[in-house]
Amino acid sequence: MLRVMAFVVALPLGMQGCASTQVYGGDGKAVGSSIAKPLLGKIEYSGNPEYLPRMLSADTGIENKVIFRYSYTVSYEAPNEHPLTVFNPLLMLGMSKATDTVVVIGVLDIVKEGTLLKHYEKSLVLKKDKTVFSEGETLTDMRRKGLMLVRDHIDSQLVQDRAMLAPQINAE
Amino acid sequence: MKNSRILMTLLVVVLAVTQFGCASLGKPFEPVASASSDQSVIYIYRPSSFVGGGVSYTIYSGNKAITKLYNGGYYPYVAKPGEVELWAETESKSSVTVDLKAGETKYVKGTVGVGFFVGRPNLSVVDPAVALSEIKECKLIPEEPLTDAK
Repeated sequence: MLRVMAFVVALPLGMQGCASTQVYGGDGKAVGSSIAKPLLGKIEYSGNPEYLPRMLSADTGIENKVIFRYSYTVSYEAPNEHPLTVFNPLLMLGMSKATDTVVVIGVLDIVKEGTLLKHYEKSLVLKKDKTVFSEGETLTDMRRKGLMLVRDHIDSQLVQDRAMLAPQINAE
Repeated sequence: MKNSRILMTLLVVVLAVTQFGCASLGKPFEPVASASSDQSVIYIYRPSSFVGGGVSYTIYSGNKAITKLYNGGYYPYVAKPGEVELWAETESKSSVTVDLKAGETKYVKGTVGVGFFVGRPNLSVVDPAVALSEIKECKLIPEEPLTDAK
């Protein structure tokens, strides 16, 4: 009897981990917190500055011939729970009742005098199962996490390409 | 006699429980005409559903209470362009953030999910085509005094 009770108590506790957010497409190296030698140019981006790749820096001092055009899209998929879910006894054992999905896509175009120098794109899928024991992160948290990861991945690509990009950007 | 009294009591309890959270809703859905071109509109709606129908919850943007979302109701929230977070809470919190551009219209759908003691709010951004087919069945939630979040 004690074993059964221990199992019943332990299983939901163990299943709580299933409510954590899984990130797909996030492989590859992301840049850490410090960015050295950002690229200078005119930035065309109207969103939250936190989500802008940190390798891009606004250059207001000289006439800008280089434009950094950054944008992102976020789409949500949060299906309704089935009306009969409430009668599912396995919910009490930590079974998932629904899965939320957030898809984040970041796009950066580096344009010089009307010519596209380089195009960067990164997409991520974040998924989270919800149980009666834990709803996990909210869609707002998942969106924020996704946008920060996309930013870091594009930063990482810019760091790798810096040696190739800098002469093209600075050339008259 | 005793049985009929028990049945009557039961009926009153069932009615009280199922009608809890119901509100007198207004007109069927019609788009807002008054929003200016430098503003955006978020239609917050909740399709009518038997499951969780008695549960209603307040929608907040930041600390400001916007509306109480009733079963089968909708509310047009006129907001400034930018990032707007909408959230609601019963025994758990649900939150969704939308990016608004000037003159843009977005749709946020609320439902009720399974909880331990009370239904939990689920908010999500819905594709306009899907939202328009669902929201036409909803009725306007009237303005009522609400308490902002602390």
